[in-house]
Amino acid sequence: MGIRKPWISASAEAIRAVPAVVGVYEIADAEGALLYIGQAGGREPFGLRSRLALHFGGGEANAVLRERGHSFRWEANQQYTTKRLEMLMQYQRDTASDWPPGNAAGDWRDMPQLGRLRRSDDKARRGEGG
Amino acid sequence: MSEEQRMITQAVRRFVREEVVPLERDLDPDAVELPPGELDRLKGIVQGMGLYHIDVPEEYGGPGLPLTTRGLVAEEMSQHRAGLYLPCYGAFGSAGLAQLYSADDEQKERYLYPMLRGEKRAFFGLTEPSGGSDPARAIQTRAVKDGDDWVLNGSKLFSSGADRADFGLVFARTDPSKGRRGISAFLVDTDTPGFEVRRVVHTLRSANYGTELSFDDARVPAANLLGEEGGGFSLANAALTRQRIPYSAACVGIAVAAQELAIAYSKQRETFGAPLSSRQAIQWMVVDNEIDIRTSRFMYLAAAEKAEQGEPFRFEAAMAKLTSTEGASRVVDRAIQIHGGIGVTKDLPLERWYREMRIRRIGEGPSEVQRIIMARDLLGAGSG
Repeated sequence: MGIRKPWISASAEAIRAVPAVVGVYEIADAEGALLYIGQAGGREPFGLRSRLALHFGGGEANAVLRERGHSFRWEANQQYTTKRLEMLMQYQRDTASDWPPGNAAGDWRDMPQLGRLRRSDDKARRGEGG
Repeated sequence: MSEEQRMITQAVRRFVREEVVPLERDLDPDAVELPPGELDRLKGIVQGMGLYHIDVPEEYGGPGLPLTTRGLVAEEMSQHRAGLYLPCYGAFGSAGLAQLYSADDEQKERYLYPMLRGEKRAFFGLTEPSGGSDPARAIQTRAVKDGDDWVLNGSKLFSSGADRADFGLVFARTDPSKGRRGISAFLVDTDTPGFEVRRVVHTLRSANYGTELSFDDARVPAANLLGEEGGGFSLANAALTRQRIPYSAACVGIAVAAQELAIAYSKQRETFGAPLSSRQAIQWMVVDNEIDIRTSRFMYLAAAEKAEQGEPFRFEAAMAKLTSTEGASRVVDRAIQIHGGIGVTKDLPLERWYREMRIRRIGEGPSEVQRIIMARDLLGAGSG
């Protein structure tokens, strides 16, 4: 299950309102298309707030997020590692894409090893061999 | 401990402390992956030590360690943050499914050898939503013969890695009238129509997840029956009993690491003008930790020695599993208490061990089942 919350337009004020807790978050473009699925883990000094501040604070190294990142939504979650993996697998299942574009433009931490969350007959439905 | 065992365990201890622990300093506290290239580098070191594929039998290319040595190594391998469930991040290789060593030649070609070469991943499908402690009765997944196939219907729960696997070993009831002798084991390819990884199951072990699986008229060729029809339960049980020894030893390793942290902190931390280590309350906790550690080590080594001598060791393996999981849980709990507030932060590995140790008292047969196993041996088969 992804994050069931409305998107929040990124601003310094909106990011200050994010709690300093561990959890998962999503970033979208101005049209609400998902760009990135991330996590704020136990090493982040201010949890979700730190992570989102890094993305929207002006020094974002990820070109996709720097140029198209517009809004975000978050979920406090102690199981941030498995929750993010689940969200990425659901993205792959639901969109038939490999990665959200912002994850694809990131480093190895943005593209963890994933399993498959889909019916075995999805392959046939998509016209794939094997 | 023999001289050979001493050399091997010291080499593994050095490897863990000098190669694995430093990597974890920069990783998320719940990390399950190493940075690119690091796992291959670690595997190279392990291969140089002659310990790669540590759980693979010698005739299939493994190092062929005696079970006592395997236990001692497992105790060393687990002594880092991720070490309980992911010792050395897999640098010692994976044995995959131990039951596959009793497969027929054709099954070995299709499943065992690709698994050993790392070309295929496998999962183990035993526990069901109806229960896991008593699989002989709880298994409701049915397999019905239809021509040259078996048709599977049912579900499985808590199967780790099924979403990444190429095939799994799935236990299903082939004859409802025969109890545990009515359960058979099947090799099921994960691209079989009707097989579905239905959902991720989040647990206290937040670094990893289980999966729920469903089988909806999943057709499996008769050639994929592993062992004899009705022989699934004994196939599962034999491997699970043996597995309890390194499983127990890994818990002891966590307890040793927690005790080291507790002792170091108790000497360094001062309260009311004196180090914690000078307080009797702390001294007794440290002593109780050591008693739990040494008792648990004695138990798993006793089980391993009986197994090596070819004697029945089910009782001793159950006692080792019970003692080590409960003892190590107490040790980690006391170590957190000695540390106070810092003990429950993600700055230290204690909180991850605390959560993961709780699962060890349930996984691979909960404490109560281990007691049932022992009671049956002490009182006779009818007591359980």
